[in-house]
Amino acid sequence: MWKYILKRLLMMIPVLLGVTFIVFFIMSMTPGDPAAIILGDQATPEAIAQLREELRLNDPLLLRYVQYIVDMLHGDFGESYKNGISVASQVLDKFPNTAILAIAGILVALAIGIPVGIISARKQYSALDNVSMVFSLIGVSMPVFWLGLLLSLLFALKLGWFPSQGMGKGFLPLLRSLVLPAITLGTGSAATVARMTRSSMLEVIRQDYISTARAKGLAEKVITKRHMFRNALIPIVTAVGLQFGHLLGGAMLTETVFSWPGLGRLMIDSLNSKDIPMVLGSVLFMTIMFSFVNLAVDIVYAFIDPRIRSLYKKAGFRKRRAIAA
Amino acid sequence: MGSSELIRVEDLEIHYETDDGVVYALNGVSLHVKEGETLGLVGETGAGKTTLAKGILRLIPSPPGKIVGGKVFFEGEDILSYSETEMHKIRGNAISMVFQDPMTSLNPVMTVGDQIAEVIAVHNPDLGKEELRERVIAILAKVGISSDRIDEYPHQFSGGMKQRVIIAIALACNPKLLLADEPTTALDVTIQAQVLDMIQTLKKELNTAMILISHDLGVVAQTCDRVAIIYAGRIVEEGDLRDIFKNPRHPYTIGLLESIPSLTKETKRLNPIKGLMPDPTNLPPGCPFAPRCNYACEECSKAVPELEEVNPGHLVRCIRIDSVEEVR
Repeated sequence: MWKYILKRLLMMIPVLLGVTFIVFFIMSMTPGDPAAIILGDQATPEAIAQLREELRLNDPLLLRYVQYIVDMLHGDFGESYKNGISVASQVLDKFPNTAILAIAGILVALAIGIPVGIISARKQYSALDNVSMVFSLIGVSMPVFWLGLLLSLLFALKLGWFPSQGMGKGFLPLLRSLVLPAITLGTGSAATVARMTRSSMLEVIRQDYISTARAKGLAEKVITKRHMFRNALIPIVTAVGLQFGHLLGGAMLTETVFSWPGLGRLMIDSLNSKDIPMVLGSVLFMTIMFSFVNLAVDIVYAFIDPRIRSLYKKAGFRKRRAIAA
Repeated sequence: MGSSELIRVEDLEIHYETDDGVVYALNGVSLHVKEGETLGLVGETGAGKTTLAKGILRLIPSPPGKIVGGKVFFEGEDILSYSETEMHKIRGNAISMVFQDPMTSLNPVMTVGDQIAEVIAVHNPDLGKEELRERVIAILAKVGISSDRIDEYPHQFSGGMKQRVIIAIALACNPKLLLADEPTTALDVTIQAQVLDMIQTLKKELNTAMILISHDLGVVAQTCDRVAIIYAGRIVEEGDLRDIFKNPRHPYTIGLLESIPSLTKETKRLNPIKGLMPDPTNLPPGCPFAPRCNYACEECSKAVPELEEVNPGHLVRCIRIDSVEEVR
């Protein structure tokens, strides 16, 4: 198991190199001179030229990239062009806010998606199934910012139940300010989770071991929980993991609609101001988070499924033979 | 034997209502099994053997399956009229079932010990953890699996061992009736014999009656007291092992027996029954075997013949038995 985790961590290195290179390349291809943006409209050409020299923007692209990587390996992710504060500290500063929102969002998604998926599968083709699948289709295809706006129009502006903007300080205000963005964020994921749960459950329902379980005289509830759900879990965990990885990277639209001070907004702001070190730093961070979530998902597999677990273990002769068979 | 009747199925009719039409899987099947007796149920694929077994336990998936008519008396009680909760108490306890494919019949994410313990626990809710484990170890020993494998998962077992586990699950609560749906079909021939021997021994030990479903007449000849031949959802011939194997009367049974290569006579080619079983969504109005039958006459395709007793306990569903006898 540890060997496997180490291998996966090492595999992250080429991924990160690739991602930084692509972002680096794209950022330098886009129009607009960072130096001019930093200095503003009033800047003289001389001042801009001087700043370009300072920022080493005149160096060849590859050289700048190598320099960036070398700095990165020393733990230096550069400073923001905009305010001169270190990228690492800004990203780490915003990350807890994004993490709170991501966890709340995924909880909403699980709380809705899993029960709906299970019930739909158990009562396939019933009215309930059709209705919930239509709703989940709507949930998947609805633009997030639109749902966010509608929710805040109704529950914040009209009813005044929850704040429409920002992140509350202290536990209860935080919880209140979390409700609308979490629902906005969770709805789309809930729909994906529900559809995945349903199809995965339907696959399991037809398995022979479900007939065996019925022939034992178990109640349907027990069969659903003990025999169906655990076997249906792997695709569900995969879907939830992917969703969570996305959410941890910062939900740009939701964070923008609700002025949530998270990574997503940090990234949007830095993109607008062509703050290359900031963009690179946040993308890098998202990639790392995503890889870690994926790794966590793979480890969870081993807990769910003994067949996967035994592949990780140093298998004894008998076990290896059973796997090969 | 002389023991009392354990189960009586009367005119059981089961249909599957699909988008492509109604599949007439069982069309009035009647049979009975006495305590401790073994009935072999023989028929080709699609004849309704599994549907019958699942129908007795009311495990037909619905929709599309539907029990249209008939009665199933178990120890005198009509269990078709039982509620689902009452059926839970019967399944795995008084009547249990062994499925065909051991590779897919065990839950892959539960240890075999837990899967056996589960059936004991659900029918004996008072048992403590220790007693439960002891009983699991005892039943594992009965099916020839050592107790140190109790915490292993199904993928660590071979096919034959998995079938032993499944049999352990089925016999864990000392059922009165065991429905064995082709329990050895998916196994190697050598393992088949082992598993069959084991079922036989345990069955005698526990005095369990059994309906053994098979398409293998050899297996049936080895294990059964009585045999019922099923064709297109109807019993076509039923009798003692000797009646069926030494004195078959229905042309289908005769055909089945003739298609087995003999060890004593020299046979150059097998003698199969030509043709296929009729489409169960569209059964012919008369005897369903008539289109394949060497002895069929015009009369055969008019109405389904009745099951008639030719000798005590020997029932045949054919109107041409006399001419069949003459030709042979």
